[in-house]
Amino acid sequence: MSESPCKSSRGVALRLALACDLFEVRPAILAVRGFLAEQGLPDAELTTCELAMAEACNNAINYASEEGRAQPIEIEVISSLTRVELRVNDHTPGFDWPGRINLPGSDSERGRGLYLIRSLMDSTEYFRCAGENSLRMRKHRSSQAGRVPSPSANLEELSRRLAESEQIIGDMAEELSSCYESLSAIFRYSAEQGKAISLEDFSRQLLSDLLRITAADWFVLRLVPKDQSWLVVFTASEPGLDLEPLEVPHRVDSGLPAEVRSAKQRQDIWFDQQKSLEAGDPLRRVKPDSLGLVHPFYFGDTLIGTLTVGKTISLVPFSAAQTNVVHTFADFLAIQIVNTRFQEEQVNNLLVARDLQIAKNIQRSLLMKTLPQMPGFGLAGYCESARQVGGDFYDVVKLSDQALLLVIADVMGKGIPAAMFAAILRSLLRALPELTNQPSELLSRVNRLLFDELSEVDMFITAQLVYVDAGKRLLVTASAGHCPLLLAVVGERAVRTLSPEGMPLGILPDTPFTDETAELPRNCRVLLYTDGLTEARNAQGELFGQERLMEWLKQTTTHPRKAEELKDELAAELVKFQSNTSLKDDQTFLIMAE
Amino acid sequence: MRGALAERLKNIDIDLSQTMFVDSCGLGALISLHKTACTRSGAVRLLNPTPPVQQILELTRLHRVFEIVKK
Repeated sequence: MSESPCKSSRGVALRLALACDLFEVRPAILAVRGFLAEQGLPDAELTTCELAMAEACNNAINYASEEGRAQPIEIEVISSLTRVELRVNDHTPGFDWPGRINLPGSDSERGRGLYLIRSLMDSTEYFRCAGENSLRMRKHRSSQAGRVPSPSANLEELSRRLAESEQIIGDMAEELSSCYESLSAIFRYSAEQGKAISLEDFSRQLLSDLLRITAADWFVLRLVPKDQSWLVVFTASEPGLDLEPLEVPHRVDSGLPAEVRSAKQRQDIWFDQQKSLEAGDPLRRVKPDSLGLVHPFYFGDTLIGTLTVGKTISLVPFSAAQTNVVHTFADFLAIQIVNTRFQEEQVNNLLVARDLQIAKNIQRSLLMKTLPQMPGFGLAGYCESARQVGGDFYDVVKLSDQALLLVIADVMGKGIPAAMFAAILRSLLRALPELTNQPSELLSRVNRLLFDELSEVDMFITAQLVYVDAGKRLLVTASAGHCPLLLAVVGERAVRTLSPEGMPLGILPDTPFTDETAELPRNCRVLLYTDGLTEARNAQGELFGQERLMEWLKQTTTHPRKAEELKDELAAELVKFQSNTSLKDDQTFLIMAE
Repeated sequence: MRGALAERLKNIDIDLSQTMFVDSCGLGALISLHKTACTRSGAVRLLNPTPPVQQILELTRLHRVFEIVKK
């Protein structure tokens, strides 16, 4: 690098020559900066000139051919009272100076040099000749410290500097105030959160403040409802905007609305005149000719929503400070949204738990603690729900000193609806005392009464009714698609099964049921049960099955036993069989022993 | 620079508090890093840029691409 400062009538000049090598650029630029500093240029202008010069030199070297590299690059800096002129002369093939210099896309790694030069300098000329090119860049000097100006110029200059300083102070004050306002808004809203205010009102207030602080005109807040993949408008500054929900697809295609793209790419998307929104983008409908940005916000890896803030194109774009305010507000809002959702979920869980407790209490009250007994016969019932509330129940209705109606039923489905139908069925059976000794007639009547309600919710009930007359020593049973009744008699090799035909309740409005009558021999055992028993599985996946149940019942006849003891034995048998597995279905049985 | 990044590295903070000068090559390098971070679902943050660097970021609108953190 060779250096030769000189003084001319036009001002002071510096001339440098450097080899065509990027490593030569930096020292040369520092020399230029030093020279201009001596001329009294303020720091801001020194940086501007330094950058423009660096871009010009880099360009010249990058465009040099092998042959051109042999020749040096020449730099001239001329500083006069009112302006600085920077010249870079090279001996490369040169390039076509573009008529319009646009900023390249934000993901482009190249192409900003000329844009910077044009933006930083007041005027630029490029002369392309055979074997030599010259780039001339001029910048008016704003500060003239370091020289002695004429008195009149001094006054003019002072007022100009005053105006400039006012501008700078104004900008700083604005930035400071926006920082202060966003902080105080956030504190205010943190306090507001304690009060009963809906998330929507809260967001609207917060975002209205955001518009004021960032001098924006409108906002659109979209949220993703829980377990969905749609961005749905939650609130927007423009009333009456009917923006449809946007699906967030797995893949990102071009042509997607800006909000979806920003959500998928986890990146802000800016739009303005240069980078306008796609023709079909819903944001175009908010306000025409807008500029602004879409900011996606996440909680961990979960997309919470997008916040779009815009203003009319005639205004200046958002500054970095304003962008920061937008981000801060969006992040704050995201925390509030996540908190609110969490609280709602907890409240919901509490409500559901309370509902279940109520339903469980209803169901427990259906199952009597003490069953009515008949002379000579003991009765015991067992009911274990797979869930907090099940659809199984049994009932025993005392008809006379000698007669009882035994009921066992399984409402298809679990939880509260099943428990409700169980309660209704129990009440209906008890409300028709004239039919209790004709179980098939009772089932027909109950089926007709319940059919509409059951078929409306696609539910059905299997049930078995047993009329027991201890005096006549007989039982009459009818079944609505329920498991068979098991009857074990002392001394008999096989357990009898009674399964009269009948469809479950709620399948057909008018369907026949039949009664089956059997004698009650001495020391017999009668077992009514739900399919939860026979379909119980052990850890190996094996079914408990009807065979095993019948085998168990048969061996109980060898010794006299009370119903209560038999109940405990069978319950223990089931628990043993299902050790280390969870209950899949309700298990209920009613046992009668002489 | 990209080659020097560990495979798993995805979130990159660059301290610009001592950087007084950046040119278009420097900006290109930052964008290249940003693209690498994005492919790993990460991000590049610029910490405390000095006024001259901040001015260039705003002039080239790269403050929209990078999160600028001031502490």
